[in-house]
Amino acid sequence: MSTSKEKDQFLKNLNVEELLGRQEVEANISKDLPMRKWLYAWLLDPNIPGNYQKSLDKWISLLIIANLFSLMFEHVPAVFEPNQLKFEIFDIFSVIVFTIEFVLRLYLAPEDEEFKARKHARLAFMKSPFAIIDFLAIAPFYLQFLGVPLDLRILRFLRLLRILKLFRIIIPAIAEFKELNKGRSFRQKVHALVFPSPFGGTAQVIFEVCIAVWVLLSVLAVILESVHSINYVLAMQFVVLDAVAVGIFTIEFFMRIYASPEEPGFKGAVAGRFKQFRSPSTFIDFLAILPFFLEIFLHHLIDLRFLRVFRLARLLKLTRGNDATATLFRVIKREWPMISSAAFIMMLLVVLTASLGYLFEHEAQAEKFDNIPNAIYWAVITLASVGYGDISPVTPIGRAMTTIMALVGIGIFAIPAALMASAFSDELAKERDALKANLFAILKDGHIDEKEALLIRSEAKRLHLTIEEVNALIENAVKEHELEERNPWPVHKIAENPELAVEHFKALLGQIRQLGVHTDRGEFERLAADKHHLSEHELDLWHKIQNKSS
Amino acid sequence: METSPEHPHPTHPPVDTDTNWWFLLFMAFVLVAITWLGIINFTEAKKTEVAKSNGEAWVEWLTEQGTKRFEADYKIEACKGGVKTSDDAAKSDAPVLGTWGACLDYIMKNTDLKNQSNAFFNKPPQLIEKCIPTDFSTTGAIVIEDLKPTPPGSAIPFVGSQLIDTDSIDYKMQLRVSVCDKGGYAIKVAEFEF
Repeated sequence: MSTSKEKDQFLKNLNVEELLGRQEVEANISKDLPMRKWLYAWLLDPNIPGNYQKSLDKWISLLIIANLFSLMFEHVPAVFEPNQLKFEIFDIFSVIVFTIEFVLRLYLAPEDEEFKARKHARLAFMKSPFAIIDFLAIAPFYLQFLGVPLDLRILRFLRLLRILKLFRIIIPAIAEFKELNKGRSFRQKVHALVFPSPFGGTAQVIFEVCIAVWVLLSVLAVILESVHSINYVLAMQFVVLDAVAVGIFTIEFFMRIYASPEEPGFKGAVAGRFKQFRSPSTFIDFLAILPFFLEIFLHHLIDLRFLRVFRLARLLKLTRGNDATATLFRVIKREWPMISSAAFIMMLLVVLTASLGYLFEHEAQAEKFDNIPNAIYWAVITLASVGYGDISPVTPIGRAMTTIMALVGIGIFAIPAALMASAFSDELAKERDALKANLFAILKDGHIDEKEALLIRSEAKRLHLTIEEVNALIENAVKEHELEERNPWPVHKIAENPELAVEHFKALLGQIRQLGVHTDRGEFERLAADKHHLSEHELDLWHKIQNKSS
Repeated sequence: METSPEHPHPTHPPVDTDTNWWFLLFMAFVLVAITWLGIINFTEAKKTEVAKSNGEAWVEWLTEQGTKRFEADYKIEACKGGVKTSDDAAKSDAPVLGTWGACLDYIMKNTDLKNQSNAFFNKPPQLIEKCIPTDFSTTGAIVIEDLKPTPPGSAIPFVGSQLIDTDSIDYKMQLRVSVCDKGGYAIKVAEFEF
């Protein structure tokens, strides 16, 4: 760290909220602006942080997606016919929102950077592709309202065009992606799109969101397929949805495999890709699509209906962006010797309880304790404190044994849970310590660059740290810096570096000399000689050092 | 906060190889293959939908007749309710009035149900006892079961048994129609009174 003053100033200026990207930016828009400018600044200007432009885009996007689903369900008579009024109300609501949006954009067009320079800004806006799409999204409704006869299929097709409104978000994201990836290879671009990296930008976020939405949709479909009344009506829709989901996941899977050599630690066209394939997240991706292909190709040979349940494994795809699962696996791996020991004791206890149960109860109730495997079921249910009560001991000795075993079981069965809980908490503490160490190193030069800020941001997100917690960690790191400045390094650390050791020796000699200057030399020598505090050699060395200084 | 913006562009030159084209070709192949498999799945699912609509047609006809077959002026004698079978008639080979056999015979000769087709085999759907997942010949078949109430206190309210030709239909019956899907599993179409 440069100087104490600079350091203090740096820490004073450090804004953790901004560093973590969680700052609530307040839009700086003057109230004195003319109405049109003011409205544009609040609602549509993409360059003013903190205004409502992003929120407006988000809600309009959600409404577009809801319209798509509404259009899809209109083709299902069993859903549409009883709810026709609700569908119509939703359509009217959507058209009202889209009309307000269209009129607003038309009114504010003279403020838009793209059109303000034109002679007739609004006319230029009307001729722009986005405005045409917006117009097409609402025009069929008004034409129908005015009595123009329109074929239902054409009407639905025109309504389907509403999805094109999403281009308002997608096109800027593509432009940003192109800019970020200028001069990069095709594989690097694919990598930037599918793996989180500084090159991904909004396009990568949209890609992740799209995959997550399809995961949720396909899992929801699997769950609803099990409801007979729903599956009976929507069977075809579920088939189409599954095929589309598998299509998307398969393309994503191959994109990840193709681009994996760009990932750090996955170098090599074949070895890197094979390593990527073996990684848990990619293997989950593979499992997500496998049932579809197996069912298609092998359903004539074996009954593969059970594989459909494995489509629920797609939910695991959502763990890709969440490090908690990886932490859990790390904890299990670390604590495996203890967990396996506990499992072994549990197994012993279960077998022992079951055998004793069989021994004591078989005579009294042969139909329930007819063999040891059945008794094992009873033992597990008893020891795990589940206690269904379908099998229970009736003999006095059997009951006595069960009482003891149940009490022991509470302790033994709780061990793995306690182990896991404490190991998980240890792991989190370790990770926080690692972040603290990182912060310690980062703050050393009194400067946080983009890369370091990115690291702090991603680590804080991964460890679910609040702004206050990051603040506390930074304060800790700063205190440790101060301590380090006050207290020199331990001797064994200095000894590791001979150059440092020489410097340290010189500093020590200087301190001894200073001691000789400031103390009463006669009294020092008398005490050292009389009480045998110093040996002859030590006293001789003292003289040599002091003589040199004098 | 003091930050130093870092240019995100790579320092090493990009390497574009033929692999890109192979990859794009492969992706195009994957896309075509999945579309093709999706169409196969869709076609198969459509066949199941045809089987379901066959079952629904049976349900519609039987439900409609069920509402009027106990009326005095009901015209279809073979399916009329309340007709008791005589022992002599039961011994003959011809379908006996008052039994399911006679009613089925009438249905298969005089109603639109005779024109139905099992889309899996392009032939009329057979009426079978139950769907069997291991037996693919049951795919697309129709199962009509007579649901008989179980004694009070039973865990299940009805027990279903296949309607056979000699079964009497002189009483208000509770029926269940199911069809067998692509995998030979039963899909319940409806339970209704006949």
